[in-house]
Amino acid sequence: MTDKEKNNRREFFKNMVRKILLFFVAVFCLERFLKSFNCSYAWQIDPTKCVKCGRCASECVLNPSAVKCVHNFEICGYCNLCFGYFQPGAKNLTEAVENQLCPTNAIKRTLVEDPFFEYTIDENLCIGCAKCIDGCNLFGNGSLYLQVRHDRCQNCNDCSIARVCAGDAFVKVPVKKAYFKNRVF
Amino acid sequence: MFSRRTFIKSCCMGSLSFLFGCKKKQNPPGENPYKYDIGQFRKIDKELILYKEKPSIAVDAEQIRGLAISNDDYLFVIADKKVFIYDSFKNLHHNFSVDETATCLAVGDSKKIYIGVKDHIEIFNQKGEQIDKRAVLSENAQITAIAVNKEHVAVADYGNKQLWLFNKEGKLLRFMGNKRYSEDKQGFVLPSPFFDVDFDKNGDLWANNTGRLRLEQFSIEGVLKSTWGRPSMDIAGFPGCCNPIHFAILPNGDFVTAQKGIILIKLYDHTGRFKGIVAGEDLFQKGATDLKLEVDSQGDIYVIDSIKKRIRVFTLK
Repeated sequence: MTDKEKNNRREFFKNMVRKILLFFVAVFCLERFLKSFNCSYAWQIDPTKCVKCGRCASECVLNPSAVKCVHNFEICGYCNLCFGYFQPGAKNLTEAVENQLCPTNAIKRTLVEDPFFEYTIDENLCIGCAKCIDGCNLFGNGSLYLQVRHDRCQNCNDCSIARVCAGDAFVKVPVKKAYFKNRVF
Repeated sequence: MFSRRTFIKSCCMGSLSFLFGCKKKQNPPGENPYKYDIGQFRKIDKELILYKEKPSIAVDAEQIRGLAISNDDYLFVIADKKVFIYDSFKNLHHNFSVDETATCLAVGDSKKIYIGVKDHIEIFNQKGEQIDKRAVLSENAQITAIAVNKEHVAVADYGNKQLWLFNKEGKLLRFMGNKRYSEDKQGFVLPSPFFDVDFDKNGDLWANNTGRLRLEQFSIEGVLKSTWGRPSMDIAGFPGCCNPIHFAILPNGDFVTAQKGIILIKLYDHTGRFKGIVAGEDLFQKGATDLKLEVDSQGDIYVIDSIKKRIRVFTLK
């Protein structure tokens, strides 16, 4: 092997390492740049399209699901007889388990003043089954709705719930546009 | 070396497997284990249906907002920015336009038309000429219903959650039902903007306290005289967070109520005892929520069908 060839090979490796390093630096800078403009995307549920099929509870790769019931207090009626909280036909309007609609007891009911009650969701217990949402939409103002919670969501590229969503309500939106609310009454 | 045939075969196979691989996996439409099932409460006994439907009245407008019936059974409908007047045979007599979008209307003596426009009342004659424009009730006012008898005009105000009582000249006599000012601190509980008012034949005021799922009777002096109605999923009670959404008083003193959730038009006697059903959910399309209703001197019941853009008419079987 001649000196000329040796030099060439050395030069070649040098250049390659330089280029690889330059590539990683560029990727890093681009990522920081995009993050500064909040250009990453996140999965969201469009509440106007949600058909409350129950698949958010069963199809998510996480257990319990990253989809949770969210309460829009702006349009809540603070009803005594909340159909998102009570079983239809509940004999007594008390917090007893047999009167509650939620299968995991994730809704807390607190008296504000007679006859107004506040309903809050315990997201650690909520499985995103949408049973309460159906009741609230049918009889009430529709203040309960499902949404993807991004403190839990893995933001999978091919979301397993989106693949089977019966209402095509799963959409990927820029993070800055995330957390759709349901309709304003 | 690959032959051309092998190459094309491989390309086809590759494309097909790519296409099938990309196809979305769809779960079979199985039973939802979390289904909110109220099927048993939707069933109604056919023998309870006391009314039959008559031909409905078409309204040439996008959004019907209110209706009223005069003593001689003329029907007045407000839709979009127009008032439609139908004669006693329910043929369109004439119509006229108003400047603002109305929320409700009522008809008084000599067919004076009282139109509720968000926070104030405008009065028109039959020809469509404005006779009077009353002052704004208050900053938060949201008028949802007006009732007129020989001496008084009552206004249901969802914004302030109270009834306003005026004399015919427009002088405020009192307001009633506001929780902040009522002695018993009860007041109207209105989770959603459905608030109706009507006079009975004795001159007392009736209003729907939807959050308490009952109707309330007030004297002209503002005293709560009686209530009836109870929360229940059974046919005689009112289900949901806020029902009945609208009501009317028949000439014999019976009440007709409209409820949302499980859509039902029901008939109660003057004490609030359930008598039967006027119309069930099967007669209305999903989404028909604002079921404002009125009754004529014959006891026929007129209901707004906002989806079909018609006035549905029901008469005793």
